[in-house]
Amino acid sequence: MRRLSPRTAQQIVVSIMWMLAAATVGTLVFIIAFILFHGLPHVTWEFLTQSPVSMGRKGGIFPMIVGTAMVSGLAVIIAAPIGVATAVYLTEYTRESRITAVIRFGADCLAGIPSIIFGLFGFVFFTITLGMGLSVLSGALTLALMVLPTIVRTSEEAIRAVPYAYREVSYGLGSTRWQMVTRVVLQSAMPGIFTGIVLSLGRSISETAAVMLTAGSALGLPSSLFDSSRTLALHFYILSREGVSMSNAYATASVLIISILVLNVFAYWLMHKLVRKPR
Amino acid sequence: MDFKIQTQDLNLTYGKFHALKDVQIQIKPQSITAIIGPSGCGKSTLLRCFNRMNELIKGVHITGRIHLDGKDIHSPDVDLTILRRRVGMVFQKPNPFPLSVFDNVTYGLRVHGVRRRSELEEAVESSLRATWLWDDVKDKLWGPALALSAEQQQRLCISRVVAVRPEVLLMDEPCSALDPIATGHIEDLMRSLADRYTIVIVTHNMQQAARVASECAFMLLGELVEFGPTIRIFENPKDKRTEDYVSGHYG
Repeated sequence: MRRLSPRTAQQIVVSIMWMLAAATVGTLVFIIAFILFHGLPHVTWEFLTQSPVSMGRKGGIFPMIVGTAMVSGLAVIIAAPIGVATAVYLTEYTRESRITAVIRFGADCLAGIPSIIFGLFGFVFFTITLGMGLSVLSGALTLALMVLPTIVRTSEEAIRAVPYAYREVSYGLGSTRWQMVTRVVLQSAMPGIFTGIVLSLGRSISETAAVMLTAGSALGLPSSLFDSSRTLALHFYILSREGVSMSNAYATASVLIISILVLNVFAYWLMHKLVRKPR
Repeated sequence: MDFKIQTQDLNLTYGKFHALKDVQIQIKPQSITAIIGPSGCGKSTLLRCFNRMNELIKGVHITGRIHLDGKDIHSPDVDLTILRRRVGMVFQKPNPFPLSVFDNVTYGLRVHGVRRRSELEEAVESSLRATWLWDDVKDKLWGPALALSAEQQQRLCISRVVAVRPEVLLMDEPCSALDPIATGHIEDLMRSLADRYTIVIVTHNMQQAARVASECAFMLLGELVEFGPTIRIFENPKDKRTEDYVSGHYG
């Protein structure tokens, strides 16, 4: 067989890669379009602002929106400072040793555990042992544990990417380690750290199994951290699984997708505002 | 004469590697002293002893004494942050922070607790004037430092050190990332700074040492082979090894 000319080979490879990329993006677009197509017509102002009626067959999803915001928001508020602090400790305050290797290995293992296991742990530990019951707080603490490894590892990567020269200069000008960390390292690593936090927030919002076992599935509006609350993702699961109302399930999923999208856009906008210009 | 910096039996080991061997050096105030020698001879290591930067590296062990104005810099009552403020350092590569010009120059002052706006602005202007950068950047103080040319960035790095009013400027091959014209400008700048600061420069460029330094030290394999007035080192070296080096036999 005659060999292909390099030019033809190049064209073939490029077109194959283009098709594969198109397939990936196309699938994603199809899924989103499919859900929005079925769901959006049912998303009305009433749907967003009212409580569900007869198990979600009618009425809206307002309590779930509030519940999701409370559980995921609290989870990230708890996990972000701990995660970033751990990353700073691992990169700036210790030398590489067996202990850092163990911590890092532990974080990687935690990241690979299925969320239902976190749910089970949260259920046994927070809900029962610590007596928090099925509540926003139990759910948030469980999700915080779940996303902690992601925040630690992404922050660590971002911090490691800060050039060593910046640290030297900072010390050379007489700064303490803490000043160096806060003014130079975290400042430069902020976009990367922030990305990790936003990823974690997205993961918390879409989590189902872990919150089912810890935050419960109450339909009412949570009025405190100790109330049980059903998140959007869980509501969607129950509506579709138990065949309550497919149209409301799609509508819930649409709200979930759109809110994650809006959240990402807002987060990046906020980051550009916060990170000190110029970069 | 009182020396600005003086070492006695300075030894530095890095793990099993003996990087500095019984170094005795006396550095005169308000002058430029050059440390020359082939790569890996310990000249940067010696420079980094003067502001205790070697302590950032694991496995470094130092014995002997280093005096700054007659006071041991390793004595327990020395505040490291104040020492590094007094003994500033300019590095090989221009390395401004990814911040504005203004924030770069004021970094050191802020670290040392200066908050007053007027004081910061004054320091920015005087430091940038001292490095002849003011006219180039006075309209872009809030622009990114990384947008400046390599030479301007290196001058900015010098301004950043000058802003904290150090007494000694340590320069670790400050021109090795610059073209010959920019190098000339930085050398002029060094000469102009020498009447206010004690400058110690490490360079592997012998011509540079000859052009700027009044005193010159030649190092080889961790040893300070010869030290004296630059002219004498270049024209009338006493040690055979110095003679070989300055006449271009190795390095």
